[in-house]
Amino acid sequence: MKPTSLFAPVTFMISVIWLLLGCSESLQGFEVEPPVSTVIIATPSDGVTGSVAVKRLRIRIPARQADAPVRLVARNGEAETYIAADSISVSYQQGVLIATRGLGADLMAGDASTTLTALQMPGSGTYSRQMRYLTSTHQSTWIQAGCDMKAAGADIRGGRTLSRYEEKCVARSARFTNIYWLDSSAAILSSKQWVSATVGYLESDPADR
Amino acid sequence: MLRKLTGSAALAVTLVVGANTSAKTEPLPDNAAWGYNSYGIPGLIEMPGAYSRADAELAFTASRFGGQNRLSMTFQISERLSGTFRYSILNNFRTVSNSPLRYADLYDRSFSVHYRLLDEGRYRPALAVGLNDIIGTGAYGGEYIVATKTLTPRLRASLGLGWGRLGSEGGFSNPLSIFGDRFKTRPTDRGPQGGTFEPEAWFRGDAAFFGAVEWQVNDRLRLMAEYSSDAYLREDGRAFEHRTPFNLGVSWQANERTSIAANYLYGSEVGVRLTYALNPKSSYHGSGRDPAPPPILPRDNGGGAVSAGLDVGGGQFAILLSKSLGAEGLVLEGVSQQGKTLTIQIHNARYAIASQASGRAARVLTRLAPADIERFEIILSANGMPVSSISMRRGDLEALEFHPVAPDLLRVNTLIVDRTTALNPVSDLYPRFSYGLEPYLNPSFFDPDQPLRADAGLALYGRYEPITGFVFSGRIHQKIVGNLDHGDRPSTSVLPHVRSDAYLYYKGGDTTIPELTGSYYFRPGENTFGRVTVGLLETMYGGVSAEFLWKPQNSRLALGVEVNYTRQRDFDQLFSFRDYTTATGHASAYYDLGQGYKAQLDVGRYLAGDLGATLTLAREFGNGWKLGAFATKTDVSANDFGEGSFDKGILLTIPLDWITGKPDQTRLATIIRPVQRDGGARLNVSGRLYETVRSLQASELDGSWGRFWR
Repeated sequence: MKPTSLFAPVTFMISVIWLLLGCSESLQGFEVEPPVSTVIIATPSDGVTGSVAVKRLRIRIPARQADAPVRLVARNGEAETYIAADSISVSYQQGVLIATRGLGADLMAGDASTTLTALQMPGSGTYSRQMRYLTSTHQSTWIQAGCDMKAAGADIRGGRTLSRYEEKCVARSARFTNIYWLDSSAAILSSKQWVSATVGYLESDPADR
Repeated sequence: MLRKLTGSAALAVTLVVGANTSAKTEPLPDNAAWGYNSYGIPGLIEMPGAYSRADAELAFTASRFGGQNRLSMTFQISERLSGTFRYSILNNFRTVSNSPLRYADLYDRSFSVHYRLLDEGRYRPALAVGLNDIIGTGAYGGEYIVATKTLTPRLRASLGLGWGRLGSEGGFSNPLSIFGDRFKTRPTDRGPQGGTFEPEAWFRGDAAFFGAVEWQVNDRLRLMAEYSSDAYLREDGRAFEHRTPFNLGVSWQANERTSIAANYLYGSEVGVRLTYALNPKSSYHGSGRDPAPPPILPRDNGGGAVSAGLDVGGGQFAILLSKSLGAEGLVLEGVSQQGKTLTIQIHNARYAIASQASGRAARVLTRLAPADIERFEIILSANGMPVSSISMRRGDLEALEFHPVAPDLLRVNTLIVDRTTALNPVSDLYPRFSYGLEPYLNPSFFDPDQPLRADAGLALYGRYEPITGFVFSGRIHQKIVGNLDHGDRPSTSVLPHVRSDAYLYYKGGDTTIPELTGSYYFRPGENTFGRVTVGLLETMYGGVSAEFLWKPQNSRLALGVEVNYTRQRDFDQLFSFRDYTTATGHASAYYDLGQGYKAQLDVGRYLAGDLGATLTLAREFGNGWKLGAFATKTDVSANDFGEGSFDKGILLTIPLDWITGKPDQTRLATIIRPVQRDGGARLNVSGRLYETVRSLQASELDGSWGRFWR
């Protein structure tokens, strides 16, 4: 008969979990998101044509307390892809967010056309948006949202008066409101757009402000 | 009998009335069981409930009270079926049930299953059946059926009928005896070695009712009360005092994965339970925090401009391509052009999922391939051996980069086929050499003297490939700390000591060479793969191993043969050998049952010269998680085998990228065996073909095709 302390079973338990999960450091890793670095490293510029000055944006992800300058690295049709120093990329079509990479629960791709149409005719009824994601088991999954666009006055941002448009979207598993700020030529200059439930919203402004 | 039933019913009623007033809070979204009991079974304090946990959940539960120490691992195998493996230390257990005088600490391994037969209806309760300790010593042997009804969204009541251990408090004559007198008595003899199925004991002997009520006060707090039908006949009086059958408990959900409970049990004991439950289907990192890929570069925006005027067959283009692919963790092994098709052969050194590797390669090709190239063919290789060819239209890549259904649309014109011939290697590919230093941890479980032992140290590994298909690799381990060598249980096995001398290997030395081999991988023909390995194959054996695999691209079935001639290595695990030599080998059939369930049957001759078969059933997830169980039966009798009667165990594989969120091919694989004996023991040779090639084939690529665009 041997007294058995709690030590052995608990040590076993913790060790098994530790073993199974690799190391405790990675377990904690998810809680502290490294802030997006603000240093720009050289990125391949072969994606941007001609002599146009490299376009830069400043993006922020409030839920992650991330704030970074990004630079245009590629165009594909109307899509523009910007990249941040630590390999986060965001893609816009005429200012509407259509993809992110490097954020975890990334927007794999989304359709901008219905939103762009609605910005020209706000208040003209509900339209649909389709956004693709990947699950933890690497299956494609989609959010199909019904959205309404409305003009919401004007805001002064970066010293300029911009028209504010709010896009309210409802899907089965999500509910979000995107905000677009348009200049006098009806181009989206700034925005706050929803990426995913985990990442939350992504804000963007011209970097030269 | 009647008294006991009334007791549990009255308890249920009291709690229902008492709780009703506060039940108007927000309903829980999930109709899963609210927690695990002290045995790691979906339930309350000690008793089970009829619900199941969320599909695929994997839970680790530690529980302790009154000398009852239980550690369990529970997997929700399907939506309805869960299985629990449990290691328990029962202090002061009455070892002979009829004698009050013999007590000892029992170190017990047991396995339970819990199956939900019926879902809850508006009036009908959920119904589940369970078997405890189906292949262990029988110390926890007991069966139950249990019904659970959700009375309000936050209040549930359960009523069950138990047999065996769960029919020992207030037991009455088995109602199943209407089907025959054989149900009236429960056979108690499990045989000397334990570890066998004893279905003739199930649902036999006296039965008893148990009942329980749980109240989910809010998202974190849960109150439980139950009437337990386990009288603890073999523990009462010595391990703890069993005064009443009533238990009370409080459970606190500390975070998404962890819950802790404090219980007051049997009128005398305070107990604790800790559960950590994760779900392979859900990582904290979603689908991973991989760095952004290079954007597609369409030709009208500069795609291919850098290679204008370069000869694809020439060295300069290969260098350019090799550098860009290298930045994505891909090794360029060959490149060639036929008309408007550019073909490359790559080795994926970074991504756990091959579809992502092919997507990254395709992105690089849109940037670098000359503008007149219309089609890309990407050959995926393993150990220099080509496996699959994926060919796609460049125009599709350019057009679909941001399309909401890009994976499906791209796949329409993408061809994935078997590829047997390798491209000519690029000029500086061979010889290839790599090495590294990493920590290692070598655990050993379930020695009664010390249930957990481990060695930790540094591993130096190296790999040298002189030409296509030839791989020389080795590892040196330097132990730094550990207590594996403290084990001192000389083998009692009557078979050749093919595995049971493990403790002598642990004592053999601090510097060891677990593996030092030369291998040749080749494609004998279409849909077939070959491997020959020579050297120090594993920690305990050296020799020659040859394998042949037939695995067509989209077939659910694969067949393989492996033949080995081995000699047992000396305990120091360096270059000397012992006298024991053996020929061992298997014919294997692998079958994909669908929905991630896989079966494998190996038939052949094992290390001790015994003949038999191993059946493995596993559930795999798209992200690389794998949980399974295997059992081996050979012509070695249960008596000759010894404790456990036959070889069996649990397989667990966890992809490292699921934990870190960073791209990584490392998979942490563990085999948990209740006991390792000499019967049914297999050789552990590295580089077995099935696992090497299948992740590069169409069925697996298609299963994760969305990741192409990652």
